[in-house]
This record gives sequence, structure tokens and C-alpha cells, in this order.
Amino acid sequence: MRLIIAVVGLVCGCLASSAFLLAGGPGLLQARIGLAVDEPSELLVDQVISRGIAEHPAALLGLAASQGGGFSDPGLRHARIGIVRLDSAEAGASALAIKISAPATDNSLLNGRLYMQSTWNMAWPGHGSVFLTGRDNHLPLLANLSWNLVNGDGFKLSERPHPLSEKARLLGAGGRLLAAEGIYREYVSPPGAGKLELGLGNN
Amino acid sequence: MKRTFLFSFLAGIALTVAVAALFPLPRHERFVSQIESLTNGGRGEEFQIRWPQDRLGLDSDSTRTQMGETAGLVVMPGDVSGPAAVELFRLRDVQGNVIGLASRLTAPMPGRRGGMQSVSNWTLAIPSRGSLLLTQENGADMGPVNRGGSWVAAADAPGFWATGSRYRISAGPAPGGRGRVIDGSGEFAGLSGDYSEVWELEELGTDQRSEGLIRLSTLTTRAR
Repeated sequence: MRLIIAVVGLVCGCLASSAFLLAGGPGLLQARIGLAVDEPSELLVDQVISRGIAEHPAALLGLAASQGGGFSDPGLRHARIGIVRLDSAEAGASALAIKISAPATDNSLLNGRLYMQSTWNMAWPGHGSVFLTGRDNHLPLLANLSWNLVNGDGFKLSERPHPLSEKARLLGAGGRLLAAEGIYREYVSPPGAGKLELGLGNN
Repeated sequence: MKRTFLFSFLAGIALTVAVAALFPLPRHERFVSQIESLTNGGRGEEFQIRWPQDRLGLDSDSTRTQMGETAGLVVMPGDVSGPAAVELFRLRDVQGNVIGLASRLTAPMPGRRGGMQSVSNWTLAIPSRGSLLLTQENGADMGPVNRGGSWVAAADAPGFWATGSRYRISAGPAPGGRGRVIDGSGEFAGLSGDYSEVWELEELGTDQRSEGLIRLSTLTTRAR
């Protein structure tokens, strides 16, 4: 009887502390800064090409192999590129964009940090271009995957858009967007389709 | 009974914390930065790309897209202003170590004197350090060339190397015809300055396939 209670206690302790860490760990105790996006343009992400590690929490844990050649050098082993076309009903024209990501150097499961540092460059031919940078938070995705696994739904994301970006902002622009400033938020939606909300204004 | 549960509960927490602390997360290998300190307080750093061996193959994952993909080049045909293209390379330091990835996005943009101007945006991503973002007006049209229905990079187009074997591609918008360092992330956050992009041809085959070196020489200072 004592052994059963000990095992139940151990499992409860593991589950409780795992839930705390997946919810953000010690970061839960700090104030969160929300990303305000007022009437942003919605850009639908049409993935054309991706190489390197997958955009998946398992890849940030080192549990997924790189796809495609050219990423075997030690300095690139955990990097990722995605080339996409961005379509928008408002803008009319499509943009060509590239996103380069790599696991953040300060990732720590104990501190509830599981980030990809991402940089976007997108261009609307004949109009302008923007550079964006942000941190993609994969911890909520890992929590969602774990919850679905416990519920018996398998190790996959729920069928709804998941916000990804934090501290995401425009770093620079060119062409007719030269004076633009703004922020963005990226969403991933299974099975691989996503969208980007881009809020631009003039400074 | 309560004491047994409490102790095992705490043991469970300790076990989870130990696993979270000791789990081997992926780490990037870092090479010593080849940075030159300048007398004005700035810093100079040169990055290199060897083509064609550093060019990454880009085959499409999607059949829905109407983009053109050839070896190492993704082209979005675009409208009357012209096509946009992405090229992707491995990035090296001056000692030849592969330290990151470089993407070059080339598209026609409104020029300073009216009309359209060929513009390139570079993203230099070094996973262990951060990203550096560069933009420049090109001295020539560096966009992709449609040859017999398929796209080829400008350097592989017939006649590109007809007038020399060393070209400086940057032609503004920074003074002296240099490109502009916009900003960066990680270690490069808050940097601004200028740079030059120079292509050096080493070999030109009879089929116009070329081999050579791209030098991206940056001069930066911390803006804030």
C-alpha cells in the first residue's frame, strides 16, 4: 500500500512540476508584455520550400533530424529556412519572403524558455520590402502537444491557429515602405499552413 | 501515509526539475569571430560565400505554387515591374569556416531617381551570434534571367562576365556607392553602417557555369 502511494505521489509530483514548466516555469511569475496589433494586414503563408530542422517543438529539443542537404556543418546543424509566398486580399499583390530561424542561445527548459530566433525578409516587387525579427515561443506548442498526448489524441497540435511570435518587430524597410515601422505576429495552424499579421505605420 | 505521499510528491518534483536542468538542448557551435576593431570605434568584418559549392539546392515542396525553382534559385515572376528571386548560401568567415546561412532576396524597387532599380536584401544568419540585415541598390540588374523557359542566376547568364572578372555589385544607397547595414538581432542588435558586395570570378566554363567568391565587407558601429 505504501509503495502504491509513493508511486502515485511521484507521478503527481512529476505531472504538477511538468505542467508548471510547460506553462512557462519561473517566467509565469514575471509580468507579460502583450503584443498589440491594431487592424493588421493578414498575410496567408504559402510554404514553398523549407530546409533544416522542422518548425516543431521536438526539433528544438533535438529530437528531429534536419531535412535537405547542406545543413550538416556544425554551425548550421540546428538552423532552418523557409521560403514562402505571402498572399493578401488587401494588398492585392503577392510577396516573396524568406524566414531564417535557429534555436535561441538562451533556451532553458528549467526557466520555461523554448524559443526560435527568427528573421523575415519579404519583398513586394515594384513596391517595397521589410525586415522583421522576433522570437517564436514553442513552449505553448509543446504544452498543447503534451496535453493532446495525455488525452489520447496523439502527439499533434490542436486544429486551431497557434500564436508563435513574441518580441516581434520591424527592423527596417525599403522602397515605398522606407518610413514604415511596425510589429508582426505569426500563427502556425496544422497541417503546416499559417498566417502572418503585419501591422505597419509610418514613423 | 500522508508523509509517504508528500515525500514521493517532492521526489517527483525534484526528478522533473533535474531532467529539465540536465536535458541536452541543441547548442550551436561557435567559431571565433574574425572582427577587426577600427580607430573610429567601429568594427569591420568580412563574410565570404564560395559559389557554386555554397549555394543550397532549393527544390519545391509544393505543387500549388506558380513559382519557378531551379538549382539554388526560387523565382516569383511578378507583374510588369519584374521578377523577385531568392538565393540561399552557406556563409563563411575569412578563414573559410561555415558559420551560418546567407539569403539574398533580389527584386525591382522604386529608385531614388524615379523608375525601377534592382535591389538586393541580404540576411546573414549566424545561429550562435544572431542575424545581420543588409540592403543595397545593385550596380547592374542582378535579377534572375529567363533562358529558354527556365530561370538562371545572373552570374550564370551569358555575357555577365564579358567585361571583367571582379565586379562590385553594391551601388548605394550609402555614400561611396556602398550598401547599408540596417540592423540586426542577437549580437548584431543595434548595429548600423555600410558594406560592399564584391564578386570575384575564378573559373568560367564553356556552358557559362561559373565559380568564384562573393565578399561581403561590413563596417559597423553601435547606433544605440
